[in-house]
Amino acid sequence: MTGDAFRPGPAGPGGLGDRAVPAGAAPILDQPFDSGTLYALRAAVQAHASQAGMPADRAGDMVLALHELAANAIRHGAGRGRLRMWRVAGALSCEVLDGSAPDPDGRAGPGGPVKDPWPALDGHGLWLVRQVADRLELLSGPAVPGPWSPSPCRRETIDWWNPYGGTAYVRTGEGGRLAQHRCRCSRFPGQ
Amino acid sequence: MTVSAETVITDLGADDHACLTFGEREELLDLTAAFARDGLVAGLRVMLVTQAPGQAVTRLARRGMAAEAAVADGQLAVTDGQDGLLAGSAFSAGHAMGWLRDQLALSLRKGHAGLRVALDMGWALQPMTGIEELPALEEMIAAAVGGAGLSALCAYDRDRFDPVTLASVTPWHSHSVAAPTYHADPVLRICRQYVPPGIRLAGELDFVAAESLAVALGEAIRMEGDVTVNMAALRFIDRSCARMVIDAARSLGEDRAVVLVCHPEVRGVFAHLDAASLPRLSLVTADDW
Repeated sequence: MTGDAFRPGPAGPGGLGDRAVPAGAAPILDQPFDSGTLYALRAAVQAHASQAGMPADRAGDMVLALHELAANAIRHGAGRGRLRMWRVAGALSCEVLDGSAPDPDGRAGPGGPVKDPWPALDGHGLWLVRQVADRLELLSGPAVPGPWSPSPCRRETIDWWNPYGGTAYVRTGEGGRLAQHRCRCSRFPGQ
Repeated sequence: MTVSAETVITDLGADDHACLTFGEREELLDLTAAFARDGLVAGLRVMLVTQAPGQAVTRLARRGMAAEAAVADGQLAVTDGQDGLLAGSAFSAGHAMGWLRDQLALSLRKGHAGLRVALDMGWALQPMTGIEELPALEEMIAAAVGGAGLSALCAYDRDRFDPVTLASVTPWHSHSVAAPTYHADPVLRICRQYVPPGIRLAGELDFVAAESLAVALGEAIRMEGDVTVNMAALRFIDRSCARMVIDAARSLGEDRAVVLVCHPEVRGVFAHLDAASLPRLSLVTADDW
């Protein structure tokens, strides 16, 4: 998967970069979701977090963060998504894939109209995710192999800032609508 | 989305024999508290038959009732029923009804307008001889109310009593009570709360149930006085629903306060949203409530 990683949020534990998921690693959880199965998604995350030895309050933070990312995919994306989780060097790394399809109008090219896939009226819970996650990345890029992977899309640069008041915004750069939006949230047990 | 309700607990009179089938302990506590409160206000002597008599008065006091004073005055009595309703380790409908008649007579002699008894029927789940007479007791109570100054609320845990038992006892009641319900499915339940006034949520709440939450909060705002949002049995709330609760609290007038009773797993979300900084809003952990 390629894509430009945005500037990470508040400082977390050092050396996060070396906890990347090894290529081809099998996820310990790979679960599609929609509005009718969010409760099942939360239960699965809770179970894996507890099984990995995460304290109850941290597991709760993880459930909340991943729920917010999944909710974004449902409310502002394709209405469904997919969550994958890996256990990497003592950490849990999770990926929420938004199944948005490419814009059929193909608003492409520099200088073309920019359309935010996630209108930033209320931060979409990303601010809250940043409060509880050790690391958050928003990435766009080619499709991930899977039962319903959308076709590859354009690469987009994503700026991220956290203005006064704690409201977070995600804004696309030039180049049109994101066809695939992926959020990775990592949480490290015991920290 | 419709709001469903059976008989409202606050509509029960001095001669009613009502049945409550509850799913959560909070539902039992709230409706029993409302039943007791209204009985005390009406000048009745109130008796609570409960499995945890030592905690009952404290729980009522936490909900804002002057329970200790009522006990001291002799208007409120709490018992587990072992030395009255039950005949030792056996059950007899005749013995139990005789005890209730004695309690009614005592109430009248003391100058009260009558007796209001709230029975948590959990004692009937214990193995004991004679328990097959339970429907007969309900039949006797039904015959005794009506002009005698006796009213009763019989509470059955619908998750622990089998459907056959419930079907055999419920027909003897004049009313079936439940809190008005805004949302009920296996994941989430949102109900009216009476003592203290507000709403009660149990299960898990996310944006999918936002419409139901909005209706519940709207009705809570329209009540008079302070509002309690009881989330003691709510294990999950997402950001958008927590924001709805906070926004509802903000919309109340300056003379009204809001209390959020939170399960520990939910309190953190409100803390992240800095709910405690709002004036007239209190965050209370369920263990302390």
